[in-house]
Amino acid sequence: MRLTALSLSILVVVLTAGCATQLPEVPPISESGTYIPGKVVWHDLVTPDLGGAKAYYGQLFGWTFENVDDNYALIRDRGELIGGMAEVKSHDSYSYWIPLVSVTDVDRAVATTTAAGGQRIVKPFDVPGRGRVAVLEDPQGATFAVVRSAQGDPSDREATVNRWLWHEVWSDDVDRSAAFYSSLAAYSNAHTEIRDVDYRYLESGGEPRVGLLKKGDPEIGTTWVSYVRVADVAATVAKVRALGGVVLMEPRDDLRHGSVAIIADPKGAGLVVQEVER
Amino acid sequence: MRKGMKRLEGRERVVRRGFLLLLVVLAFAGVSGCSTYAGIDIGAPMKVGPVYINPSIGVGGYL
Repeated sequence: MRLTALSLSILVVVLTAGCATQLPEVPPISESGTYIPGKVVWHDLVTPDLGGAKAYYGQLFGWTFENVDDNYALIRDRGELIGGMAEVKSHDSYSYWIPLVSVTDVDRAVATTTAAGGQRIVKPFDVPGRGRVAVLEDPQGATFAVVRSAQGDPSDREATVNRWLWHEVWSDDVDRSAAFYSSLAAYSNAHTEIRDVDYRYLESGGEPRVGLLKKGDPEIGTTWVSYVRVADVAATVAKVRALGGVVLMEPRDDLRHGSVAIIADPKGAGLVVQEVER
Repeated sequence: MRKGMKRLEGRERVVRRGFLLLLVVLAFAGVSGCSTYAGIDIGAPMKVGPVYINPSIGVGGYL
């Protein structure tokens, strides 16, 4: 019985202290000291296979990785922090890129989302060194996260090759997406006509942040989509195939002159890759 | 009488081991439930097929 009491004590300690001791310290997203609400400031890949994801993205984009613990690794491009990868072995899970949008108050963003008909997927939690984070689903079902970073957001600058270039929300109802995200962060609605296309997007701090697209087909789930700039889209697509990934949309002459492709990693996480001529 | 006592002790041992096993399972569940994205299970929204063709794709890269 003494043994049972001891075990019970250990269990209580583990359950009460476990959360506090489980999250390791990570480097800050930025040390700028300034905030840009509405900007996507970080990306985490959630995957059931961290080792496989590192091998795939390392060879595809030349990214390098730094293990924080057995379940989380930081991503660097030419030494600079650009995201993270978390291993989650949930049953039936696929990999998915979660964009982290800067907000002034994470808890308020959660309340705004649930009041609008969205879902709280992971309740707000503090990541030592990084800040406060929550994972949400918007009212049409797109998963994303919000963050109040500990020491500020990265400043705006042009995306170089193998870095995050752009973000979009693909949904059935673009007006509803615009209304929801405008209530979440300090976005203003904008649109532009580029090469005969009227393109809608959200701005904050005077900069374009997120494009809003109507899904081409109801078969695609409502989703956030992240773009990575590449030097050569055809070569990238060939590498994707060689590494066991899937090419969801080949480059097409009628779409930005063949400079865009949609790819998925071997566990399903989708990205758009794009060559950009400035 | 002694046989009955032994049987009772054996049953108690089984119950105790079962309880300990349950504690270990609960402790493990408690720890694993605390990792950052634990419990998240997102269906892959991307599907293979000609469903992506949208003239707006790629425009954002030029903004």
